[in-house]
Amino acid sequence: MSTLLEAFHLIATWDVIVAVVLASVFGLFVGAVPGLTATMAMAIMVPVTFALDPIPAVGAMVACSAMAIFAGDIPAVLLRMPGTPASAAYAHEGYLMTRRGEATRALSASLVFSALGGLFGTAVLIVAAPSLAEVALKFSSFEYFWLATLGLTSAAFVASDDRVKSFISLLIGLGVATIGMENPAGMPRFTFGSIELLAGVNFVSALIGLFAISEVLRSVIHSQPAIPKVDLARIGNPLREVGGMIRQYWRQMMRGNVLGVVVGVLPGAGADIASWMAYAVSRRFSRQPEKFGTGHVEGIVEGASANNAAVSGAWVPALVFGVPGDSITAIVVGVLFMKGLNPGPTLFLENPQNIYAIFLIFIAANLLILPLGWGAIRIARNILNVPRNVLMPIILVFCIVGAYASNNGTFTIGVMLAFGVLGYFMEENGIPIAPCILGLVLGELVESNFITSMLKADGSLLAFFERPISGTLGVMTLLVWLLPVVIAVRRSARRRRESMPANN
Amino acid sequence: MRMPDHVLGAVLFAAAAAYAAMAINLPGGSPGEYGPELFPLLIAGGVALSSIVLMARRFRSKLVQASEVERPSRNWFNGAVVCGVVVYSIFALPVLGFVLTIGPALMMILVLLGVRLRNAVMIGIAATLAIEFAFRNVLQVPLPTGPGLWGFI
Repeated sequence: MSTLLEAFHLIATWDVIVAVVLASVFGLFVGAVPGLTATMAMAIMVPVTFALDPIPAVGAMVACSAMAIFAGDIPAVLLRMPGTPASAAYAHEGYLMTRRGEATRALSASLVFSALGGLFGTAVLIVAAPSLAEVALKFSSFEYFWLATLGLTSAAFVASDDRVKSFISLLIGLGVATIGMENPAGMPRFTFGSIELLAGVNFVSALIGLFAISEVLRSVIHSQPAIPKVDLARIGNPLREVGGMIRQYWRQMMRGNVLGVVVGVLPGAGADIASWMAYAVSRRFSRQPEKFGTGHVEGIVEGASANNAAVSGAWVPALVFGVPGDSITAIVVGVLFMKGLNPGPTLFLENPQNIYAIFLIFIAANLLILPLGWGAIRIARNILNVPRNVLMPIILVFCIVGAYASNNGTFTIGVMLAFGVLGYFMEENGIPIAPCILGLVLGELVESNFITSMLKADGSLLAFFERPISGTLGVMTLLVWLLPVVIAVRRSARRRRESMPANN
Repeated sequence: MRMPDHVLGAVLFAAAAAYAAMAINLPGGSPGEYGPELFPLLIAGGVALSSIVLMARRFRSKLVQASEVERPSRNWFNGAVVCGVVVYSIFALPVLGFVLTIGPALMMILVLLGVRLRNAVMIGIAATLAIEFAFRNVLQVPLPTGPGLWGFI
């Protein structure tokens, strides 16, 4: 109880409140602008957190991500242009409702079920994280190696339909993580004589480059279609129809919440995948499946419940093991390290008040979605009509300042540009960026635990499977690796069987 | 910049080979031990294998994907200017300071992207001063001041 009180004192300060509110407004704005993702909002937020104490810094990240994921629904419903990929699953459904004059109902569903989904995810985080932390205390280098490898593997398999390209992205991230002296041998690697690179590639600059500069480049190089003007004349009070919808769709809400948390907790999968899965499940089990695709609110309820629940769920592995659940929490893990709140089970033992403060901020941020989201819906016209040719140059300046501030020097601006061009090149060629970021964050963890385990086991690979948890994680990882091979073999065998009668 | 998979595979294979060559020549690395070259060599091996799979796709399927045929318009000049502005800021920031470097650069990109000159100047000045104020005074991030008057602000 005293820990909880201490945590409450930590967050009941002006700097936390101001940081959370401003980050919320920023997250709402970036999330509502089509093409700018929640991850990009987080990347731009990182330099701002330099000046903040640890708790307001983490609070700002929590609030920013929750708001951005919700705000993506606003242009999705009004314009069929999802603000973030997490809203894409039900954008068509919401837009058809808007065209029928039911924009208020669609936005109400998105607003309220996003907030409730976030709160459900937070409840799971509060209950599950401390229990998992106790288990994690027993982990050795073998378990951490497999856990990080499982996370990276899952990221490579779910980031894109093209698994080979996802795997390449992951390896690029791991390769970048090998630059510098942060390796078990303590030897400088791939630094090309640069003193700045001895400490490794600056994480913040790489992040800003991969997510923000690549987007700026894409925006100025590709001819983007103009965003149509929004007519909000018929949008009423978004909270008017909420009671009825909760009563009618409480099962869908709970299913979406549970699915969202499960997908969020899995390493590599995040809000985007959660909302697609929830929409598909909703359609599959609906009593009125024929209404899906015609502007039906049921899919929006389940999808919105799932994507915000996933945002909270992804924090479980990030806080407990230091293994991020998605690209957003990969950024968060970086910020936690920068702020001295090193994620892992010891954080729960040594500084429980900090963890409880983060939990309380989660609750506050998800409750804040209701008033701030309501406000964002009311002024959606102003947000959506900001011209892209004005926005992108200003974002570029924020990126330059952010990269400069990360190390108080211009070298990091060069790093940012290099990663911006790399990010643009990767996405142009269908290579997803998220696995690369996870590889960059987890590279050192994987390598140090791999080398330590090899030394402990005197080179015997069997030692990686001898401990119960390590063995289970190892088998799970190998199964995930083998699954696509098995599927491909079965598919080709089936194709051969089907073609044989035709030939005969 | 969009390449067919087999070309992309070849580029990545070459990159993996160069990375592996550098890893082998790392000081302190000796075969048979867990030296600093081991992990990079595993990564290079993974990239090389994936590149071969990408190249092999070309031979497995002769069908050219739609994405390879479609060539949407690209304004490479705009991209080059944005990259140029970032490179310029690397060299100009320590000499000219934040306001004198970023203000004109921002106006130039705004004009390049079709914003009217008058609006570009107004937005450029307002945004630069607002960002300078926010980072320097509110967030206490020490941005480069540059010479003369701006050094005292």
